[in-house]
Amino acid sequence: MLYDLNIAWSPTTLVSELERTLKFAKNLGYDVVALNQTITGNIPTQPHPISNPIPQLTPPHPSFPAVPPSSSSSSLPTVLRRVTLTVTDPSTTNYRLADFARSYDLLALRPTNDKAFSWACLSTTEPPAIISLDLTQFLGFHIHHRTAMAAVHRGTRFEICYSQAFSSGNTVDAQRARSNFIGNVLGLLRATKGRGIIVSSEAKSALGLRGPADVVNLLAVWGLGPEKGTEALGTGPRAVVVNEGVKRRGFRGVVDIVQAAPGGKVRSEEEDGAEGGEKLSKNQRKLQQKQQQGQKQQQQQGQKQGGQQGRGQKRKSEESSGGGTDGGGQQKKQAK
Amino acid sequence: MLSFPTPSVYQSSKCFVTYGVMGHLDPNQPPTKSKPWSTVAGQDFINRVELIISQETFEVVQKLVKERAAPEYKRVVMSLHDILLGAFFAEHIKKGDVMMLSEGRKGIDNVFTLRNGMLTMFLDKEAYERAGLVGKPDGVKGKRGLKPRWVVEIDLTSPSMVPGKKGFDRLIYASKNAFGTPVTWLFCNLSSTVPNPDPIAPHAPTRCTSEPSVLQNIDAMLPTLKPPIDAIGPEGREKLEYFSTELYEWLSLVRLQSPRVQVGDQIDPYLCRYQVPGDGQQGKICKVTWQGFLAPSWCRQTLLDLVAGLPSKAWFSFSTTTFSKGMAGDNSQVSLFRPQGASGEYVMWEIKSHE
Repeated sequence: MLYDLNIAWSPTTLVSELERTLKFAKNLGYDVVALNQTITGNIPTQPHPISNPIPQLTPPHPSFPAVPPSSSSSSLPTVLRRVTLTVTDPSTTNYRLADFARSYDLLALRPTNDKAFSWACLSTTEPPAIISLDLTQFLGFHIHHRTAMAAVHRGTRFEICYSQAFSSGNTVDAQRARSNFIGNVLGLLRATKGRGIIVSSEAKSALGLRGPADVVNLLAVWGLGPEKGTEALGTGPRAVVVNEGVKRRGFRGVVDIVQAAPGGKVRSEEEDGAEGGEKLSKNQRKLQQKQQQGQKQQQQQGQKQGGQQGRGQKRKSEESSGGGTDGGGQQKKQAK
Repeated sequence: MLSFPTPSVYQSSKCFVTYGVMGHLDPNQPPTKSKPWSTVAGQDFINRVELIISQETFEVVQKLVKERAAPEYKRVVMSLHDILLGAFFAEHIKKGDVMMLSEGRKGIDNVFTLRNGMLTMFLDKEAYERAGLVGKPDGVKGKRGLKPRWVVEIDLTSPSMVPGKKGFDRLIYASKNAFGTPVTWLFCNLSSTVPNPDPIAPHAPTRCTSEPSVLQNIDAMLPTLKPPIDAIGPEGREKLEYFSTELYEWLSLVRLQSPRVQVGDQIDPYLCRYQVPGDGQQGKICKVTWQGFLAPSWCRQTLLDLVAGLPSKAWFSFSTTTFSKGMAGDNSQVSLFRPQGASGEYVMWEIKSHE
């Protein structure tokens, strides 16, 4: 499964254009795609709660309930809805993050200066799913290894939007944008050593999309090895999507409803929420190490998806008082 | 430019050239174990077969092609669970000989293949863990934190794969729970008998035939169709390399139906500097293409018939291309060329990727 978690959308985008872009993305091989709305400037205090204006063109992704997924051979990819907040002054944005996270499937931050960047990496209340920098601008600050890896350990992923490199023309601005892009990508890869990177287009139209093999090749030129590049298109974004779904569905990734028993009270089963390995485990560990221990085993197993699909998969899970005060939370998942 | 990090599984395809002699062909005992026959038969699922010959020899081939039954295959939508149950399993897999390939890209989606009774599943980590079967890691090994993909191989013709035995029941359970969604398969029945009633019929397969498509009378510039005399041995290695590269390039351009090999082609040398090697001979050539889900055994048989049926001085080229694998869509090819005037010799190119 290949993911493209950033296809630019704005309220002025025509539905026909959007459909063309989505069909082309599916054609190129991207199975799951996220429409991204960028919000800059001051975020108003109202409305509260925030409404999500992005249209839902396809049935929602299974991580984000409540409809079972469509078959894999439709002509449009599964579409998620995402918002990117351009942040210049962290003090005004911090309290709104939770509202945005609630109404959109994915939340991304785009810091523009050093203060905002270190705030986004280290001191937001909930780590954002993605930090996506505008790589065509001169950043004005160095991305430090320590800050970047701290963000990755918290669960955030850094995003490289490859269509920012395609500014056409020979004007000074376009040339500067391209050279800024290359320099910033090199800096980002130097700071993170290729770990915690996801790749997406920021395609405003179908022309901004490229095939996955080409994207991997292009980033290999600039230092992201081909395996890391493939991972940044496939398993990395998948971890982001699944973990965000887990955060919104279950209680801290521990308790979730897998399947409602017919004709009766809803029975909640434990399951281990963390797909995507270390990311959520470290996140959870931080939360729950304050209360309990022993969360480490579950993270290496267990997939979250398919919860609502009623596949009838038998899972032997031990009941435990998840989220409680004792040291429970050990679940074993077996496919037998 | 920054250098690529090593080691990596991401390697480009390699081409292996062989210049050899075909053994004597006994029609009663067709050769199977020697090159080039074993190479042709050793590929997995073949997608396209192309034959390039001169127009004069085409009449012979036309008869050959018309007398042969065109290979058939079926496209069917089933789940893995359906394949392992009931009449389909008993008739086609245990008793018969079938070849099946599921949809998907190897390395990205979950792909299942069935060949010679061996079921191979290329799974990602989630599907592998849901299935609960034993498999081997597939791809880059030993990298910390990288989630590997897995390959599960099960021999379905072994006597322990019977309903009721533990191993088989585990497989059935896995296919019911993890692989229950129907996917599209290509199905080819290799055995000569079809069981009656055909257990695939309830799944409403689409029957497809790979009729050969013929392109005649291509007016082309021909290269030297004979390898240089001293291309044998360690001293002739460089000559063989030049000859085989130029000839393979020309054959590929003919297969692509490129205008560059046609007589009277006037392309601006700024756009293309290709020139057909050799001394400018011209001739008419034909290209015959079979496309579909073809079995390597059929390809080998066709090649044998061609070698036996064509006049011994005539040259021909026979290429097989497999289905593409992985994200970049690489496939492997085997091309064989019999030089003009040398009936026992052949030049063979094998293009293989790292997998």
